[in-house]
Amino acid sequence: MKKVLLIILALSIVISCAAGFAACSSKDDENVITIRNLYFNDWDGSDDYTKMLEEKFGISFKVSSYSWSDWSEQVSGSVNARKLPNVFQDDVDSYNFANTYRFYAEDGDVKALPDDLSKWPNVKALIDGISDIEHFKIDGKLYGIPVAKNIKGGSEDFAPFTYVYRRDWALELQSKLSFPVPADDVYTWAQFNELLNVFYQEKCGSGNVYALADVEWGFPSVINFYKDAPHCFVYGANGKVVSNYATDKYLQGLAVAKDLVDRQIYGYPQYESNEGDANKAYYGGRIGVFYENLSLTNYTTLRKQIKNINPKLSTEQINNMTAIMKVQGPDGKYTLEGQEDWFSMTFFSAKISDAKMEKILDIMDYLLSEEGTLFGLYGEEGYDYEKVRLDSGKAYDYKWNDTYGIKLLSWTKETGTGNYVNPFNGARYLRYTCTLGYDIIDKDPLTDATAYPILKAWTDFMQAQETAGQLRVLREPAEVKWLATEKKSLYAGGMLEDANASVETYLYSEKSDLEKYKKEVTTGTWTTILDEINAALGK
Amino acid sequence: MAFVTACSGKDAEYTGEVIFSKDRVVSLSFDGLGVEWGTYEDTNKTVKGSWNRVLSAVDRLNPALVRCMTNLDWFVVDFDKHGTEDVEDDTWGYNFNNKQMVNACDVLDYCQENDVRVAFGVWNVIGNADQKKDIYGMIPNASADPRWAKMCADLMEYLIKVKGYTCISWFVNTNEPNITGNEGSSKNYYNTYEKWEQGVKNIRKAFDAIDLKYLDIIGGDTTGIAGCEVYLPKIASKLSNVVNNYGIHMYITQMAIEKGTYKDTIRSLYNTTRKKDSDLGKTKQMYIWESGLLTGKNDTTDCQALIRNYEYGYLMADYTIQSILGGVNGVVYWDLDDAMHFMYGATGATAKEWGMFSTLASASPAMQEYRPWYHSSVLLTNLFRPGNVLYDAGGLSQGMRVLATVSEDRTKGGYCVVNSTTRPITGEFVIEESLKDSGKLYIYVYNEANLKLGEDGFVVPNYVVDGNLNKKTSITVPAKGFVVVSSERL
Repeated sequence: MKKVLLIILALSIVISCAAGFAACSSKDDENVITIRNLYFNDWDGSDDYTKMLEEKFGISFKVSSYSWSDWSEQVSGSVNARKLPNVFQDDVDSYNFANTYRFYAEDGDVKALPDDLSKWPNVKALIDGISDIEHFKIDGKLYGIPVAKNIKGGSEDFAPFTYVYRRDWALELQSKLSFPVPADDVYTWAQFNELLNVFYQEKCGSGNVYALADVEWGFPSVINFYKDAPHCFVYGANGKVVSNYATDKYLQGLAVAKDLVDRQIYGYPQYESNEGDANKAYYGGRIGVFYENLSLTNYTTLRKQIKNINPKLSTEQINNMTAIMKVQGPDGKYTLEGQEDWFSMTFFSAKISDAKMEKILDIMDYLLSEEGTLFGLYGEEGYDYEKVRLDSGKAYDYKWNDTYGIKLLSWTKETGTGNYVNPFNGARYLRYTCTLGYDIIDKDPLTDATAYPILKAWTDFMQAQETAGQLRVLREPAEVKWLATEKKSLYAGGMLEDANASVETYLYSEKSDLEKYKKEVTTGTWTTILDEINAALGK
Repeated sequence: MAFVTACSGKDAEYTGEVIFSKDRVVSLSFDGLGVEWGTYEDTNKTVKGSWNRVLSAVDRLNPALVRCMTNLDWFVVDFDKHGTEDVEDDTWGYNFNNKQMVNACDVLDYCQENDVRVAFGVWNVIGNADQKKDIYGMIPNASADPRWAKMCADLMEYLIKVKGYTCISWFVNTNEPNITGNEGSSKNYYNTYEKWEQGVKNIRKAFDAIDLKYLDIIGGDTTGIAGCEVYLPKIASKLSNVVNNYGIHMYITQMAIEKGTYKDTIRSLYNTTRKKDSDLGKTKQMYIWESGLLTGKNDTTDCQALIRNYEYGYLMADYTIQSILGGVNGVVYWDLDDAMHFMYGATGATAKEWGMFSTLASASPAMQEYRPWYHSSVLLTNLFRPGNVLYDAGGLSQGMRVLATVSEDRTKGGYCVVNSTTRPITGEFVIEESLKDSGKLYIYVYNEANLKLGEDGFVVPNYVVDGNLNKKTSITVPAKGFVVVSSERL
């Protein structure tokens, strides 16, 4: 299950990926830092900003990227072949923790961070600010840096996994609905279902248009409104940890999902869909309501894809084609999955020297500093931007802090859209090895000025609902999530995949067998692991 | 002394006298500028009757060089493996009467009639990048596959010997071979330098066998500094007797251009190559066969966001000058018309918008019109003509780049002055080489405020003054713009 802040991979690459080969070189030059990262797919390391960093730190970078579709396989391939770049990124979560982070550490593939990080105060602050950091220590040592979403803290604890929908379709079909299309996109459970029915009846006649679809890892999303935990484990009525997939609430949601599949509301062939296919179908105009990870990157990309297909669409039209739904479940509450304050981890190959690791930490610390952040965000002071004191009365483009604002100089806007074009600043990309920069999104010239306010409004709304007790945030109990018992470590990831496969089989089988399904998600490995967990927790 | 003020000269920085002296020759015989004018993939997508508009645009652009690429997948038919894995007994035929060949010939007809030198090539080896759907099995060996040389030789024999396109001077053995891309979606995925080199050798042999000895093969067609640094030294060491044109693609950031660091980068690449092949700069030249800005490129759509901006024109002028100062002897702009090339995805074909205009029927009127960088390119391609001697000058203000040109017979000439700073720059310009020119100076000022178009929609001079290139002329160049001074109307 990969619920990440996906940057859709560009299939065409501008400039040479020869650097990619260098990343696999066995020759380990002390002054050449090889880095591979998911977010480097449109950057090749040959820009002027990277050169400035290289000169500043007396090194050179050889960068390459992972492709989203087989990120994990690419990392594990490098690990197995013992050909790791100096710095690499992997998709670590509680379900693959044993097979990634712990395995790399115990197998001697990655190098532990220095015990004393005081020489790198910004890196230290980042690590100290990660909520689950203690769970990552093995014998007191940390073997990677969690990529923080927001180094200033205070990020929301729910994930933007939710529904984007064709409000334009809803407006077009207003006469078929028993309620006015809500201007705030708030739908009761009954209205949500009515809308899906109307979409199905009025839009889905051709056979390749669908009322409802989910991103591949999120299917079937409607169960979220019933279940109490996001993944495998939940506390049962007896106080013990039980299979989340077999609780009464989950089964209730499963029945709802089954009904939607049988009635072709969930008509999209989720069982044979490859990663990204449903997204393509949505921006191709073939889905009415789509459950997706609406990170800013994903949401912006979705809107751009729609615009690419029809460049004549106005922003208002695109807004109506990508409205974000706020669905109240059967209990009248909103439901979202919980999220960590980090996503993925950056590792250091075990083969690099202490000096080289320190050099890399120097660079990271700089990129996290105010000077480095400004450099990564805006470029070179004096050429790309200048600081303007707020009390000077001069115009500026972004308020940076209470003392000064940022006036952009060299930044160029595209004729027609007015969007700033990407100057391909290597510091911006390298900073992704430490943080995704959620805290500076509103100061970023490359933030889509039409998409961001919509997502921000949705986030603010959900935060208000959480405060008011109207939002259920699905979380796995922390003591279970990071519990590293022997068999859980080995099998939990596979259990999750198998359970999701069982759900899919149940939903799409012509003769669905609920008893068989329940057996699959409660017995065998489940029994062993649940017993192990409960024993470890003293239950 | 003539005075030309394109903008508020009183606020301008004064750079002093700029002398294009005889001892600052950059190129003794420049090969000219040009444009990518590829085979239109689907003319059904263009505005009816737009071909005449294309021809008018090319006429005015007056390119000395054209790069035209095609696909052999369009032409190879009746492929038969005869039930064996031996590629040597494979047979196939060609359909050279289809629409794509007509489209290619339309471009070549113009080039043949107008003495435009053409690099003609094939984008990739044939087959489907998705191995499960591929019937040829050529992709694993890339252009080293022996069938590839045969196909390329057959294609060029048809074009040159049957159709008579002797304007084709170079062959391009696959586009950007250093970009290996993603498995399943890139035909280059399995390519290596060694395979590409073998492909070039095979093709050379095949061309020689059909008496196309004159036809050169582009040495590289690689893109980006990193890719060129891998391919060019090897080509210089191993293929120096096979190729005579070190052809590269360069997409450069705005910053590298404005700060002038691009010139050093390209010079370094040139010098490195020349160290291994001392004929470079003598009997061999380095060309940029695809040129453009990296800043503004959208990787997902392969479109350039800045092509409608005036800045793009001034940046490409600066790019051109820096390329030439760096040792490059021919530059080809990417590209002419948005309607030539497409990205093919799940949702259909989307145009790659990099052009100087668009003849796409689906394009808005604003997208169809000649873009500012078309007009800036017209000035440059008409000023820096093949055979001309080019001169540099010293003592320039920071952010200023200059290049002068004098025709072989010393009757025509001019210069281009680029100002990449945020304030105007004034200087007094003079060419030392003695010219018997027209006695008129045609002065063109390029920026958003000053670009002047005639009633026919093409660029016209802002000023026509009495003057001589051998006499000092005071010019004020606007911020982030350029000025062309020519003894002829361009």
